[in-house]
Amino acid sequence: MPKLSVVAASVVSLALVLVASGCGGGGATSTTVTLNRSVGGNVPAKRGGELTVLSVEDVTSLDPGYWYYTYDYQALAGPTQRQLYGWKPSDTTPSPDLAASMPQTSADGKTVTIKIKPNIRYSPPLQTRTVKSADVRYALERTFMTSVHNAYSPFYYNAIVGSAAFRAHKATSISGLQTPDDTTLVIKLSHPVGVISNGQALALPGTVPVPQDYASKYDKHDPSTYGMHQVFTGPYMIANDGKGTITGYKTNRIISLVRNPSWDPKTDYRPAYLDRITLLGGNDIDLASKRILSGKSFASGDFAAPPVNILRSALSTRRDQLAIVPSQGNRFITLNTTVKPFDNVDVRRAAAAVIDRNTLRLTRGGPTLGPIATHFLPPEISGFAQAGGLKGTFAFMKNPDGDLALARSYMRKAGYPSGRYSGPPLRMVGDNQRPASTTAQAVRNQLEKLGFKFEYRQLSRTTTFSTTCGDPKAKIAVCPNGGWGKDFFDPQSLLDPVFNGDGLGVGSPDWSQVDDPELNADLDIAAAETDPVKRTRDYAEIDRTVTSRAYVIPWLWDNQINSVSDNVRGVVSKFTVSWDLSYMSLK
Amino acid sequence: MTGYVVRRLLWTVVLLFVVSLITFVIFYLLPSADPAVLRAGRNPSPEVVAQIRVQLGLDRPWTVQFAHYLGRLVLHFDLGYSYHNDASVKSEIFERLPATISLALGALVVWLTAGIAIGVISAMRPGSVFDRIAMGGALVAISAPVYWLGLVALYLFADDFGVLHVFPGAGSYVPLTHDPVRWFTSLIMPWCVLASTYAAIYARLLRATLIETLSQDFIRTARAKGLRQRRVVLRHGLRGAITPVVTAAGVDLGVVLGGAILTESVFNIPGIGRLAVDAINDADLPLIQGTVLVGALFIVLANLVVDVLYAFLDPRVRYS
Amino acid sequence: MSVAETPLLAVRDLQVSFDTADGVVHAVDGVSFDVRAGRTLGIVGESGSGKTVSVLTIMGLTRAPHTRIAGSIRLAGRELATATQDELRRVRGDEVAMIFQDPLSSLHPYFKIADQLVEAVRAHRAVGRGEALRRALELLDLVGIPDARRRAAGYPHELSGGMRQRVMIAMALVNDPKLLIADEPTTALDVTVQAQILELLGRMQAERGMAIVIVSHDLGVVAGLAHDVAVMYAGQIVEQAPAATLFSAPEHPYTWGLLRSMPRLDRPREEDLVAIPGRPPSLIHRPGGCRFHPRCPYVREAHRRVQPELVADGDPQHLTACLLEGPQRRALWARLRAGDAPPPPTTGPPPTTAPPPTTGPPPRPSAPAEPPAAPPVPPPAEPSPAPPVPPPAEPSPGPPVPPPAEPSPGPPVPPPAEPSPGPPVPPPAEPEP
Repeated sequence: MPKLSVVAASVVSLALVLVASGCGGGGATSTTVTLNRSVGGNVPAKRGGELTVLSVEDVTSLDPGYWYYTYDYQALAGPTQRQLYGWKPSDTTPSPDLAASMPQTSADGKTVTIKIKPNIRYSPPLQTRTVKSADVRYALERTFMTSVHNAYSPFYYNAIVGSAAFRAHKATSISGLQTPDDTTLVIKLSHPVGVISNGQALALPGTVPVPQDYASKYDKHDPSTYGMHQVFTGPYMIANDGKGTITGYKTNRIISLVRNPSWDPKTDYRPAYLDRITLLGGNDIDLASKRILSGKSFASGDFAAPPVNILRSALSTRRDQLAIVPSQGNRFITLNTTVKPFDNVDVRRAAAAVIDRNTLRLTRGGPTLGPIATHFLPPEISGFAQAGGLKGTFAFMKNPDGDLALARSYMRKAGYPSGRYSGPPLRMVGDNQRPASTTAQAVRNQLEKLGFKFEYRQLSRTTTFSTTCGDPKAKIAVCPNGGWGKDFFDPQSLLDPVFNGDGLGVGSPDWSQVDDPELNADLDIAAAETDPVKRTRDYAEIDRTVTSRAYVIPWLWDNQINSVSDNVRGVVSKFTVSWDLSYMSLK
Repeated sequence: MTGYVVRRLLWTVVLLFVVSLITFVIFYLLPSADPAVLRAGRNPSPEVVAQIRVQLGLDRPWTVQFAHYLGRLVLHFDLGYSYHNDASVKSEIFERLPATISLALGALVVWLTAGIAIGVISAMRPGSVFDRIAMGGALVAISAPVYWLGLVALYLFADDFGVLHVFPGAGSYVPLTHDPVRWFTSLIMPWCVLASTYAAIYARLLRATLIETLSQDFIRTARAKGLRQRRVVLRHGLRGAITPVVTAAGVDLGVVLGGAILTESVFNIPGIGRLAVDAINDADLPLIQGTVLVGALFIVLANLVVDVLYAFLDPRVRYS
Repeated sequence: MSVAETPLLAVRDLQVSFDTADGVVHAVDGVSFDVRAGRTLGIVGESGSGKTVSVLTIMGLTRAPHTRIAGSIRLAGRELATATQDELRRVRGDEVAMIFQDPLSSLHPYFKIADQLVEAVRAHRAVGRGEALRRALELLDLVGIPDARRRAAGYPHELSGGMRQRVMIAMALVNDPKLLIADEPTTALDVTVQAQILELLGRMQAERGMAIVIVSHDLGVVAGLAHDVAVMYAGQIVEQAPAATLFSAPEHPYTWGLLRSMPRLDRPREEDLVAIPGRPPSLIHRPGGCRFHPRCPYVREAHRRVQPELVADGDPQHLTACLLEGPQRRALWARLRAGDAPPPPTTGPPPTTAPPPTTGPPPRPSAPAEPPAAPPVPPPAEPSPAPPVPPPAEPSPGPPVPPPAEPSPGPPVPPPAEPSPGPPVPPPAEPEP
């Protein structure tokens, strides 16, 4: 496994050391956070054994057509199913999995042809049935069915010819999905779609094959019950009775994975060392971290890092049980562009300038938690370097400790001669859980330096997401706990949801309510670009644009810190940024 | 008596109706989140959200939704399906009941045993060294937050990372039918932690009522009869002082059966309490309703049982 | 009745005090009395006089960490005051039984009557439940509970007050005790029921030959039942005599007060229900001298300093603890019987140890000659229905008593080596004025 290391800029780290040690004087050390994606040394992996994964929450669904969250991918999509394209742990581009090769795109970009492997079999009770291209076609159709509730098909598959008619129940199948033979799938698009051509959007669980003759009786239910009766193609399967009913799943409690007898290792790149994987939900994050670090055969599941106090001691005594990786996501403060005074770009820049991102990072645990963000796209996402790398471009994002003088000058430019805001109080909604609540409080204090006054409320994440910050009608001026992660390594999955005004609505991550026609058009053009170089350049340019307009104030490019017990050899998937269960083994 | 019980049961139905109506109204007036948006997942398109809203019936007026809910509940004993993952609320609840019942009943045994033993010994010698230590300890136990107590217990005794590897730690619960020994050992710490506060309260309660009872005339009569001290205290005294303890135990058991949220959380026991917390986090109304109704049902039934028990405990009480 | 006969119960110089937060309460202070088999002793006094504490102490029911008990309690020759807890327990409910004032609160409200009686039997007899129940039902029947079997299956609250007290009596008698102590057995009952219960006690005594100690604040209750009466005041016996003697020729001013506060059928009600002015003294800060002096209408200066002894003056069975001369007392009683009101207590330097009464009328500071305001004075012209009292100079109206062979008339002779627990032999010296 390649080892990555990122050396933080020394300016950043100097300031950090000062804050962290509280000495306030001089000092010139630089902090280096060593990243590592695997733990457990170079001993050859052993086959067999059982691993227990401890999680705080549960997968969101059993249905492959619904899976959209990292933990769904980690716990289910990765180990139990095969998509058209999969993610090797160290890759940022997909590899053919069910597919025999990468997609072939026609010259006009509107026809994509995929060949699939002929000899992949399903788990019992369909162990004699091989996967056919029609099963993938049905899987893609399912992502448009109301009974499946897929969330991303409108963004990535909308260009498939006939999908709108199918969604509107005006057609019984999608005309743009064709299967000339059992191993060929042809996708007709109304316009070129970069993320289909490059395979990224086909490396989602929406391409997990679903045999229509078997599944349709379950899909008649609304919602579909196929998840509880699904057949598996991956090295593992959820324990079941062999007759099509899952027995190894209890909501919020346990997912019991066992080997899939139909899986043929010769057709797959995944080693699948372990015999059993048990995923336990509903754990307290403190206790789970303790058990993982001091117990045997445990691995962390759905949480981003151990709590600050446990992390601190683990970093010094159990560093070899931690894998610190960039999460390919970011955290930002949103400034609502439809609420005065944040409709004024200079007020937003002033706010960006005054924010002391170092302090904000300390509320989550300091430098180990990732580099301080200077623009939107995070490391490991294409376009990161072109958009400014670690150092960034804009003056108001330069000083990680905040720049009050600069902020004041922007305020004066915006028409506040004193450099301080003088209007009515603004609404602000922060998270009510630590550490996010601490961060929110710090943001509030920092913005108040510019004279902002707030009506401040603390609400649960779900409330914030669906009824306050995430609701355009709520008109919340400042939301300090915004953030977004990738769907895959393409920058579209980061920039489009947050800034494309066409997607505005309740639940959208565009909490700044940005809806600029020109920007929307730029985003649409970039999304259609199939040339990788141009695509990267376009998105980097969009990142510069949104950063210069300070729609949001990015302050952290998170690291995720995964942990295992000392007898576990662990490998982190770059795609899920968490342990790749198909590659884990016991020492 | 039968008539009384029947009337009380009818009132229970009315009460549960009111409880579920209130839950519904609160949910609609002060929603914790929009279930359709939560259900739609990450970055949903407005069409998807709208579609889900229709599908979950959230687009209809809440009165219609409530009537629909009640209709299904009354006609089919159907508690509906989770907004979050479509699981049947009824089966979710029944699946989790054994864990909560195991936890509650075991804790009841622990807290009654400890509370009564400590209360009796303290009451027999008020002001003694034992009494002072026990009552001081009780005060500590009452003030200690359960969650904290649970963490301390785990840090001390959990077999995975505890200082002393004694009992199975968090998340080790298995159903009784699955492995009785492990069921028992995994519940020892949760029982003790959940019971500690109650045991302390009961010890203080029993001590107070027993001291008062022991000053009663009928205790003097018992002594005058030439009964042994142990019999005087344990039969005549305790029998006279136990009524408030039994009353409290019944009601507390009802509450705990409705879900011992903190204990279930810290020990990761898949019970009703955790289900309720998850339901609230997910703005999952059917599941919230289900868990609230179960909790209310337990509390109401516990009160009824206590009142009926009262008639047996105190022959002077008669219901008509 | 022979004086030399060994009494069933002999109490000598019994002292009981309780340590409380306010100080030491001297509840019983040197009480001595005898009860012989088949006889009834009535102990009379106001509440707080120590009568109940005395009898509870006989049962060992006052024993507690903060209680100090001294003196001797001999039951059939066995010392109970120093007996172990377990020895006492064996005696209780077997040889000595007790019934209490309020039968409702004295019966366990949650146990069936049968169970409570059966338990009493089996605490002392190694018999089966069936045998114990048979015995219990027999007793319930005997004390006059109709349909005993059905009643026994019920709870105390289902019975009337009189029935409850009958149950208490049945429970007390179930093991054939030699001594029955009845502490205010009728106080909580209706007047008509009172008589029935007293009649029952008398009948039981007649049938079973046991001794009874009956404690009451009401001389009237004692009058019909007791052979001997002891009057207690502030933890001490102030007068003791055969019942007939005490009622016909009481010698202590306190007894007079008690008698005058008794309702009597031969007098108009309104005029003679006379309460004794003042309140019983504190048992923590007791008055010096005669304990009764703050309330005594005939108090002299010396009475505040000198404690009277309980001695006979003439009739050896009639003991009185009063500093007034015998003839003087008899003259006063004669005048009282004739209808005179007693003078109010005299003023003078307040007793140093006696705290002011918390409630109730304080001793009047009026001149001795002045008629008292509180007790209505009966019209002097009215002829007294009571027999004329012989002049004070005359000898005691009781039968002439032969000179006692012993210094003390009532109590048995203590072993010579022991300090005498009885009243001192020599008559008290004439107190200084």
